[in-house]
Amino acid sequence: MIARIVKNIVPPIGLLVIALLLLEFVLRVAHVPEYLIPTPTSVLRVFGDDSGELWSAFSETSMAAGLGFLLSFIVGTLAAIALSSSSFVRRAILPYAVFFQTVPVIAIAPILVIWFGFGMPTVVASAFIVSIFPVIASTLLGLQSTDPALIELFRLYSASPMQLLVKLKLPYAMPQVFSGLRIAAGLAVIGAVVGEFIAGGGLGAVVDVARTQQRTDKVFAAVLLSAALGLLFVSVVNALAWWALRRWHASAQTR
Amino acid sequence: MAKVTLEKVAHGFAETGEVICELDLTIEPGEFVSFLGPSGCGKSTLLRIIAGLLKPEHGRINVDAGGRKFFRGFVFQEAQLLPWRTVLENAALPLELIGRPRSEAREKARMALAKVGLGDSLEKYPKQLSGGMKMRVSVARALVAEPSLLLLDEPFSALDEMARELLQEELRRLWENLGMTVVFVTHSVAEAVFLSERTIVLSSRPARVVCDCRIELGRRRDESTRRGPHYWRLVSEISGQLRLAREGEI
Repeated sequence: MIARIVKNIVPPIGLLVIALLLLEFVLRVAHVPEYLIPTPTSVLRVFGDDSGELWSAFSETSMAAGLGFLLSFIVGTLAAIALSSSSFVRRAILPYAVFFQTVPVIAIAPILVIWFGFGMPTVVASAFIVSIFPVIASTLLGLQSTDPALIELFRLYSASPMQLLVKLKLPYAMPQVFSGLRIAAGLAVIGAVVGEFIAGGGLGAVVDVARTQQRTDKVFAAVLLSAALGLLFVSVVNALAWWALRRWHASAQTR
Repeated sequence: MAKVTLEKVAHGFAETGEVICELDLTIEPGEFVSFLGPSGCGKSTLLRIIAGLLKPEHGRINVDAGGRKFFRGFVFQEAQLLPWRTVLENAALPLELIGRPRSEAREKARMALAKVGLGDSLEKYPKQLSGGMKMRVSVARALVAEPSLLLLDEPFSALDEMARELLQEELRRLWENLGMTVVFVTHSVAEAVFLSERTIVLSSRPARVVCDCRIELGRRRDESTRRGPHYWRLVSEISGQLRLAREGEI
């Protein structure tokens, strides 16, 4: 167990340390100005000096992204259930869902500010808009791929539509639901940071303000933190997926 | 025990054309009937019509268990278990669906699983089972609601020879003891002869009855039945009929 962790963790960490040392050396020797590319040590210093500000920005962004993600999960799953229930509804709505997805969030963020004002609600809406589509698409695919023989089995005992959904279609769709959530988790963080550029607050605002002050080291620190946040979100979904599927699905067997 | 009556039943699909052609047939209560025919001849469609899963385009189908409410059991070509449920939960599913209390469903599922020799694998998940064991769970699930009519669609075709023969013998014993009408679809002559009281050979699509043979091998059958000369004579006779049925179409 420990040997496996060491085997999996030592190579990437080792490579990272070597790359950072190399970068530090090159930047210092070549006298690259700090506002262009900050040295790793100065970025590290920012984490120490501005830890209070960064931490509160981090928790603000994670709150907004988390809420947006949760909304995506709930609304997206309900939408997929509605879409899967009738081909008429599907034909009527699906084109708009696809269209909706192609609208760049950076372009509608100002509209969101007009509607929701500056601050958290706009950021949550931005995270929600960016992350809902993969939830709908994957869940819908999962709900529609139920084995027809199993549907026949349920019909044999005159199962109600609710029984069919809860006891068959939803559990059957679970692996696809999770693959949608995995994509949505990363996107929710991106959506939140983009929303914060316009609406303020969180890591997005830190990046924006630090940029105008030519504090490139702080920009880097905030960017690294938002990447870490995305990673954290995806890991949480991965852990949930493993827990839910561990007993029966092949995807959870090789861990 | 259910009686099945088909009157001038015909059915077709847009992609394949006519699959079943004006079929008249009566299956008596408590009979064990096999439908035998080349693959793709419409025997599975016929079984789905009898199961009530498919409404025939023409003709009438009636299943009657002496006027009482009854259930049908269905065993599919593959075991078709729900992978997220344990063996016990899989077998209890039909009772849950018809609204029986959970404790009763579990108790009856336990009994049904004991009948197919799986009394000690209740908490396992389907992926931990062999093909033969999965099929046993599937049979237990079909039996759990105490059906008057049990329908099986080539259930043992994916199993190896040993497991297949064992399961045939068990199915035969279940029929001998439980008293229900069984309709069994297969493309194996030996399987049909060993299992059933009556074997109906169907032609290639559209399915018509080529021959309707009584299998008189006695009520109690076991592995020694397979060695008897009478068994082999019936197998070769019906194989001949099946061959004729296919040549007709070529």
